Amino acid sequence: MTTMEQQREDWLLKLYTSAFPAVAQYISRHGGNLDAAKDIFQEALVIYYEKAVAGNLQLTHSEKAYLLGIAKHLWYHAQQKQKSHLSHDVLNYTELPEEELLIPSTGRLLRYLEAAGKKCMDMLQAFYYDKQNMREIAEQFGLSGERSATVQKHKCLEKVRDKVKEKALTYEDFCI
Amino acid sequence: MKTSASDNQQIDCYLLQQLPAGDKLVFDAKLMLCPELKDTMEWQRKVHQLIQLRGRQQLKAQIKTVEQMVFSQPEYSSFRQKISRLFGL
Repeated sequence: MTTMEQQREDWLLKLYTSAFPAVAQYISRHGGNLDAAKDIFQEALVIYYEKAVAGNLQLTHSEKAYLLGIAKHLWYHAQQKQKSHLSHDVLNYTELPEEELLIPSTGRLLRYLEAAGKKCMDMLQAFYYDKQNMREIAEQFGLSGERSATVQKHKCLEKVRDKVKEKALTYEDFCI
Repeated sequence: MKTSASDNQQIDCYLLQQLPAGDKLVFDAKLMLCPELKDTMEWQRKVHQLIQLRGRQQLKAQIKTVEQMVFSQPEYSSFRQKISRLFGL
């Protein structure tokens, strides 16, 4: 496990033990079971993480209160959806299709890219998803400095983009 | 098509909605005038989406690992008892 992964695991563990009980209590009082509470909390953590790394969080309350707020919102929408079967868009979060709804070729393509160059995928993910800066990326990937990380990231982007184009054109059902 | 590092960076900024309004207008015009650039931008958008999907899958897997830790390891027994009581388990 990399230092970054270990740090994130520690952060998640701290949030799980501090914030999950309040979320579980809320879900329990509103008719949900333990599995539903775990699912809602997982979604809330993903939203919280993505907002935090993107710098879109202006916390006026504690992390625990913020997570409870997201969880209440998610639970409300899950209940509404169940009642009305209406489509919804929660916290602008569902811009990507859920994994289970993805067509098979997307999973195949991700597995192919993983096999063709895990390090490049890790680096692009560090930049685009985890929003790390070039100094952090250089440190994590053992590069000499920010300039070297920028060059490497450019090469990786070119390589992955070419591979996506090449493979996607062979999948008739490719679409994300 | 091979693109320069600065083109890639500009496409990134465009896709991540980080271009100032004036620069965005200029870039929109470039996209209309240069089909190759538009094509590159569309494939780069797909890379962004795939990376986003991969990142989210890995985060969910890590959350699942943490969940399994707190619901199985002895040092979290008081946490588990608290949660079990909430659901009458």
